[in-house]
Amino acid sequence: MSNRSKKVLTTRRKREWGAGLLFVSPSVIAMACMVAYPLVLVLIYSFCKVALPKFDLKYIGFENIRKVLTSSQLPIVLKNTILWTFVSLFIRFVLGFASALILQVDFKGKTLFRIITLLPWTMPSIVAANLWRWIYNPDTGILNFLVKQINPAAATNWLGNSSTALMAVIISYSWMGFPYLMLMIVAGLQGIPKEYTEAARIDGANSIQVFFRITLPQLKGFLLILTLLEIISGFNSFDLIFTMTGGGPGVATETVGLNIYRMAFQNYDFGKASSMGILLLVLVMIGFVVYSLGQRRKARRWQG
Amino acid sequence: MKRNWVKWLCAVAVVGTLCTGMAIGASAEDKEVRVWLGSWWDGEVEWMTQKFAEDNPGYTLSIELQPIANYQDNATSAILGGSGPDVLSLDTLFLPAMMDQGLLQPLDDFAAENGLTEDKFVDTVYDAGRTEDALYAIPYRFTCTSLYYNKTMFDEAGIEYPTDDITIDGLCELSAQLTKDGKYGFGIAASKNDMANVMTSFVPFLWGEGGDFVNEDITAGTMSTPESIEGIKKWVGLYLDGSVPEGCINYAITADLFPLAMSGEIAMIPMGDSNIVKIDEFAQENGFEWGVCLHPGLVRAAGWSFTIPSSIEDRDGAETFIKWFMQPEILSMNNTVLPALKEAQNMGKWGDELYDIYKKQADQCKNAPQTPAWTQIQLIVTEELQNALSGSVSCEDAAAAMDERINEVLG
Repeated sequence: MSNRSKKVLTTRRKREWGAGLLFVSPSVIAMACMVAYPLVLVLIYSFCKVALPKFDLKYIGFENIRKVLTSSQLPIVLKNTILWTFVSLFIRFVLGFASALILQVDFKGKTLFRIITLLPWTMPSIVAANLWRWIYNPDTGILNFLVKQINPAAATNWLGNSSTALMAVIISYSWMGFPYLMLMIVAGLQGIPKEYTEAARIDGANSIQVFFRITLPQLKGFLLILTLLEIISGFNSFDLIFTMTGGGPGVATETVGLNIYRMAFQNYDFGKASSMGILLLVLVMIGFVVYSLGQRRKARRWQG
Repeated sequence: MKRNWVKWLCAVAVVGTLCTGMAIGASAEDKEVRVWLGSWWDGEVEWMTQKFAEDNPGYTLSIELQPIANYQDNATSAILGGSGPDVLSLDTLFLPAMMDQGLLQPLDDFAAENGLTEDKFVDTVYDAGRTEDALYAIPYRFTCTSLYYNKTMFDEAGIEYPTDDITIDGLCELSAQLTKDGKYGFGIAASKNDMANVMTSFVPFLWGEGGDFVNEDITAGTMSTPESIEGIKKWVGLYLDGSVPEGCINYAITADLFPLAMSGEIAMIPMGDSNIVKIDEFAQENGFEWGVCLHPGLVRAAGWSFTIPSSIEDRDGAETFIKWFMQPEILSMNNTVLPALKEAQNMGKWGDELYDIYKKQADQCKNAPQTPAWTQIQLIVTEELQNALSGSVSCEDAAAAMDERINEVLG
């Protein structure tokens, strides 16, 4: 290629790049405004006393972080958040996988089944929360009514008892979110070439072997992304808990998300709320880094 | 080459459109007065909008109804985000923290110029919007709770109706007597997602026994004094004895206790003026009789006030609306809330004897402590009360924990 042709090509590429950059610039600016700016602001707030209404800042060093870390409620709130996130993640995956696998089979009423399983996801969280409040109501709720038919002694105040309240809200949250996982897994399952399972069957593999040796490994990357999304969503969500128990009884269902919301918008302590947010961010990031390192080491071992 | 031109043209068009859109959006101007009211004002919007436009040419009224859930938080976010309304109505419980944070504008001059002075209002609600330095709120609603009772349930149990001189002990006894066959004598509200309701339910027991949340100069908690502990024990005792429904730990008054009272599951509940008409209509349709008497102890003085958020630069529209609505003949036209203006309390439907009990109860009520830390104190008290209700701790331990945490907040 002559020098002149190279020059023409370079100029054309530059022009194309220029136009491309101009096209993406609104998105880049929007992302910078919507993601980077708030993140930096939260970081700054966490080291300051924030005075409303103009958000005047006074640097106070690690005071907010010290207050958060020495709070007597922190261990309970962290424990609740971890349980809320991971137990609901497990239940959502089990329900999501089961429903998705059922939807892989052709049967009469499949459309109806799909509609019914999607219903919880389409319901606004405030409606779902009140529905579950009614189900768990110890005086008039359907759950206690059914339990009393079998064993009256087992009936309890599901949301009013410190030992059952968290599990009760976790079940409601899992119920609300599993259809999303089901949809995603259905999409993933449809992406697995049928030849793989057919070949495995010809080789004599049974359904369980096909599931664990073909289906799961094929969905691995896909499930990892879903897990990450669900963990992030679990750590941040609190609307259902807020409506069902408000974090009570006592602090039995109080989570980090709810705590941050309360600190910022009810106590007007944006500095402390930001510190709590940063703490949560750091915890999640440590979790992901440890997980990623583990995965990388595993992959190397496989390759080696 | 031609393609490149098209690409460049499109890119410039996209960026240009965005910029033009922003410029157009910023240039809008009008004389609209935006007012935030609670969702329960739904039935009043039409006449208010029409009458305001008739009486105030050049202005239009835009009422934005907000649900009570997260009301304060939504208001705060709107003010801080610069999209707050011209007039923001606030519960008296929200006022101390919002005044302290500089989210509201002083209204002293406006109140003095328009004769909206203390002597014309129920004093408790007027006090709630005032600090030592300034007045930040003009109250339009006064409310408190009286003791509703289902006469039919009392008749069936062969028990005499409660009277205005009923005591806290008397209430507890009646509740125990009326609780049988899956029905309950009384109802308490302890839901952590409606803490104002918890306070309404709890304070008659606390104040009735001579206890209080904090000392007079609001420097220390007083929940572990013998009087306060006695109040806590009596309130919690109702739950532990089974004289109130088991779900009360997560119940709010209007959302949960009121429907149970309507369906005849609970014989007595604290009831505000806004529900009394509903229960009257329901009782007539469903063939049961009801009555209302003074609530024992001291009840919480509650109310709603108009405020002007700090984000508002031009107060003209806001002041025009408040001045207009606070005229006794206009305020009394509303069918939703009992006016805080004494003159309006005897006008229109508010002159009906149905509301006499609330005017009488006004002498037996007081404000929650006027401190910016109230929201936190309320949370602490609710959490520890729930711990005592669920049996996790004793009433004494809950009281000690309340004081420890309140002192930390006040310290």
